[in-house]
Amino acid sequence: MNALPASITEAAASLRRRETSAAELTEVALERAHRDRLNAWLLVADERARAQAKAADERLRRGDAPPLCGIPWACKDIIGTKGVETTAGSRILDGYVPPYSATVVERLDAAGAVMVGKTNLDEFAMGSSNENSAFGPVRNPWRADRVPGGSSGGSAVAVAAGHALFALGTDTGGSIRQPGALTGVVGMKPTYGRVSRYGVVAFASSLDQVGPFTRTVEDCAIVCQALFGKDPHDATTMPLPAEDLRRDLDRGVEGLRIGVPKEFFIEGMEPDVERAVRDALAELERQGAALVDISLPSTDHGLAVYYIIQPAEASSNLARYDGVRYGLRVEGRDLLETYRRTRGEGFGPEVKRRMILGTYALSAGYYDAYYVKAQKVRTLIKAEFDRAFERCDAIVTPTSPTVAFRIGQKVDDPLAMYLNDVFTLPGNIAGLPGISVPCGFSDGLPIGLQVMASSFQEATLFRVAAAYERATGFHEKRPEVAA
Amino acid sequence: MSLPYETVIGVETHVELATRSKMFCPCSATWFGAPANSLVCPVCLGLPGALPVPNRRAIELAMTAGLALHCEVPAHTKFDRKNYLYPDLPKGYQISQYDLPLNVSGWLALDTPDGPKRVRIRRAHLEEDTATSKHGEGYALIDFNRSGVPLLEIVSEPDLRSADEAVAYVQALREILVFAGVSEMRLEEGAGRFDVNVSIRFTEDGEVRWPPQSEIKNLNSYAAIREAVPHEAERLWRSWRDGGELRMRTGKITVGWSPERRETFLQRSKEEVEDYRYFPDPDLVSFTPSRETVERLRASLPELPGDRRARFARVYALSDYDARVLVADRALADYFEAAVKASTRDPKQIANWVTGEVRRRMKDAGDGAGVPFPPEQLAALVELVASGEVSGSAAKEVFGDMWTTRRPPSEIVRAKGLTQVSDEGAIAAAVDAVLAENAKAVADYRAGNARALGALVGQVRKRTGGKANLSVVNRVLAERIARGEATR
Amino acid sequence: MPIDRRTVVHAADLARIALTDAEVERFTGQLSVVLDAVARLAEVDTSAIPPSASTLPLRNVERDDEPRPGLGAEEALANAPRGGRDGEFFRVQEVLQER
Repeated sequence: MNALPASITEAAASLRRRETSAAELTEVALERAHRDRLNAWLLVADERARAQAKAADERLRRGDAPPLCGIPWACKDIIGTKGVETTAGSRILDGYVPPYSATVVERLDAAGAVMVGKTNLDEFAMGSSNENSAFGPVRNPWRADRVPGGSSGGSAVAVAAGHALFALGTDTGGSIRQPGALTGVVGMKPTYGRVSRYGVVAFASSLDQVGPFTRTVEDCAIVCQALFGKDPHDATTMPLPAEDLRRDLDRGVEGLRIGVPKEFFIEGMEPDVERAVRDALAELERQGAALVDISLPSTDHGLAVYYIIQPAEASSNLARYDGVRYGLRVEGRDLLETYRRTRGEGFGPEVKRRMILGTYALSAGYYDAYYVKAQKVRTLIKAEFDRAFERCDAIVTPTSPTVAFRIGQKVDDPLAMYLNDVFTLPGNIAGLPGISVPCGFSDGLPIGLQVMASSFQEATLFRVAAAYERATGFHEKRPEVAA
Repeated sequence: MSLPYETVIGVETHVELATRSKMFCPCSATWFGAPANSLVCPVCLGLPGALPVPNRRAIELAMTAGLALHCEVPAHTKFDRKNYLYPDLPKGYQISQYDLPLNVSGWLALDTPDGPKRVRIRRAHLEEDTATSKHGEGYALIDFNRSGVPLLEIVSEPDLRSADEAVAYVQALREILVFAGVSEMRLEEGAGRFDVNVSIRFTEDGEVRWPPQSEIKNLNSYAAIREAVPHEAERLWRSWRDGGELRMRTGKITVGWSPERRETFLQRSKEEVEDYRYFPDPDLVSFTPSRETVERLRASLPELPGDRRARFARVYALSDYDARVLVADRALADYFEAAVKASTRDPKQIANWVTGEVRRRMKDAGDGAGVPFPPEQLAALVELVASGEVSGSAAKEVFGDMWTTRRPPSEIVRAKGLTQVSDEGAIAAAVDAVLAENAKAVADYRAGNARALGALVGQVRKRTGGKANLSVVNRVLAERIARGEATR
Repeated sequence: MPIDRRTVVHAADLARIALTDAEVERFTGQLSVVLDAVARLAEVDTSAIPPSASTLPLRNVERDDEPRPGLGAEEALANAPRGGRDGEFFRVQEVLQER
């Protein structure tokens, strides 16, 4: 075997037919990861992966293995892994080896999945191009001079380039869905409160959510099934009864109402992107869905709300990197100077920019004008989505206004960079689930379609995405670089 | 001596709550004396990715404290982040409560030399404690065992007018919190710390002046409050009088207290005021205390010391002193009440035992020791004395035996033959014999030397083997001597 | 609301981040652009709107007061930076005079 199967479901079937083994899949994945030229990986955990594969094969032999048993996966390096260095893409965590694993890692460990290693990302997940990593940019497998999107660029690429069958990312403003779109894979952000954040290096706590990258919508549902659920270590996880997330995958969209918000078809969107999304809407309509025009006027303020709340929370979350208990310490003449130098040299420019912006937004005299105001508009945005979901079952939009752009193209223009997330961040502000599925190409670069659903209605989101996926072959296309 | 100014004082009291685990993680909260950094986890070390989960008991204890201090329970409460960087604060922020504290607008009753007074409580909120530091030459060593221990910060209004009053306030507060089981507040273990706001108010050129205050940080004993407050008030007065910094200042300053040099020193001036950038902690959801919880906590609230003292004085006709001594120790007061319930005699007699012998023995036995025998037995001992079966001095001996052997008093009296002789015939015979042998003493007594009578009583007791009922001895002696006088 | 160099320097001080002059210059320009975009929020009428700190329909999440062992001192101190450990303690330079 010199390539991984096309999906988790295929691999799981092969494993159960004894056509392959977890050990074999793991060797392929390790070999792919080691040969990676896209800078997707920060660490390949050979030993850990082989040990997990061995245990998975035993479990498969016993016949009581869950669906993810023996499946190689890639972990965004912002998710803490016990005994495996975790960098968050930053120099400031230099040498930090967590003494505990994130709950999501524990759940995948318990499911028998095999973690291949840790993937590259924008420093502390702050970015939309993966150019903000302290360990160099990640390249897009469809064209190496393009960005893969961010911040979970390495994870997206690991799946797109066939190094792993799924990957975990984190999505604060689009950091799973946008790189999913730009690399032609399925990327999904669950409803806020679905997945534990415990052990995941915090960026913006009220927006962060862990989610998967996969090749297919069904794979996405399988991974979500393993991740979802209340965690006693995370007070912001929702206690909900267990449900089968795959139950509606084959139901089709007949009779479903698909909302099309006019505010999401804006100037500045690339014509190919708009065309692909309109075609996708037509396809859903052809399958029997009713398209409903809706309006979400306050999403226009989403970017502003996001660029207050997110840096504000981040400025506090990243205060702990002080060089006292772990990570980098750059000594100055006294402790204050040591703090300043450690953080001045340990953080990259984008992180510093956001620390300053967030500190400013929370500081005396500005708090009400910025932070409280943003929280109020957040209420409005959420209310508009709630009203919209009275008229429709799902909302379909582009994932990103553009396809993958050139490395270096937007690095000195933060605002242009931030606009990449303009379609995804409203979902984070309102806490809604969203998925990006491949919906075409523009000049050989993938385009993503975003499907959003009401809170905790992931099954509906999978239903719409799966119906679309079945009718198209975009998700089966693989980049040549990866071959 | 009267001062040319009035001292205005408000106190912020930090007390560690009596929980078993920390505020936001399950590490043990019993940090005092534990080996350094042995009671830590990702949460209280502030490791990347760690998240807080609030301790129910801590929230309930904080609400109990609020109820005991007559506070209002708000409809909503939440936790906020107080952001500042300091090596004893692992996350770079402290989880605290800013604009919606768990308790607001209460009061505490205080007895002052000028009469009873209500000290208003502005708020009492929950937060997490910091790590402890040991300081060396040019460096500090940090131990995170205390990091995350639940703290209740109780903020009084500036209603106190002297250091003594401030001390009386924190003592009364401590008494209530200990009584309500909220905190053990062992000051010697740093489980209670005080930030004291001091300002001076005076009249100058016919106008009332009240320049900005000093906050004296981190006082940890009553003695420190007693010394630091007048020191700072006087320093403020001199500064004003001599045209010093206070005349320029528009906001408060923060000072520390050096117990060695016995003076305050500037920690932070108004210009350097920290901007804590409070905002709601997004890792925690808000709280809506349920009516059931509030009522359950209210119902389980013990009778508070002030109320209990008043009741003791009223119902049991005890002196203010006795009531105070008994109520100062909740276990002692409970013991007293149980003994009273088991007895038909005057509660004052029970109180005498409890405030005297019982308390003395408990003190000797050391911390945490209780009374080794049930209150019913103390009641039985009191009964033996009151009925005249044993003498007061014999009762003391019996009590000592009860303490060590835990045997019932009647058994001890029997075994040791301590039963008092009250039979008048037997006593009269002894008296007559003594009078016959001590003519000189009788003469002395008649000549006006009252002390001679004591010697005679002693002789009678000796003759009866110490068992004679003293009141009978006294009466018979007096009768015989008087009769002798009449027949002469 | 425009942002100037002084504001950037002040925020960096609060956040305890040393910036070079070039960084101050660059961030001032970049953040001004971002804040200009953010300033549009002022146009939204929110007079009757409560702020949302979270989108989660969840309240009163608590845990029982049950102590459990955490990390040992050795594990806790294992990640201490070079020079940041002294026996069973974390070691730092002289603590700041303020506070």
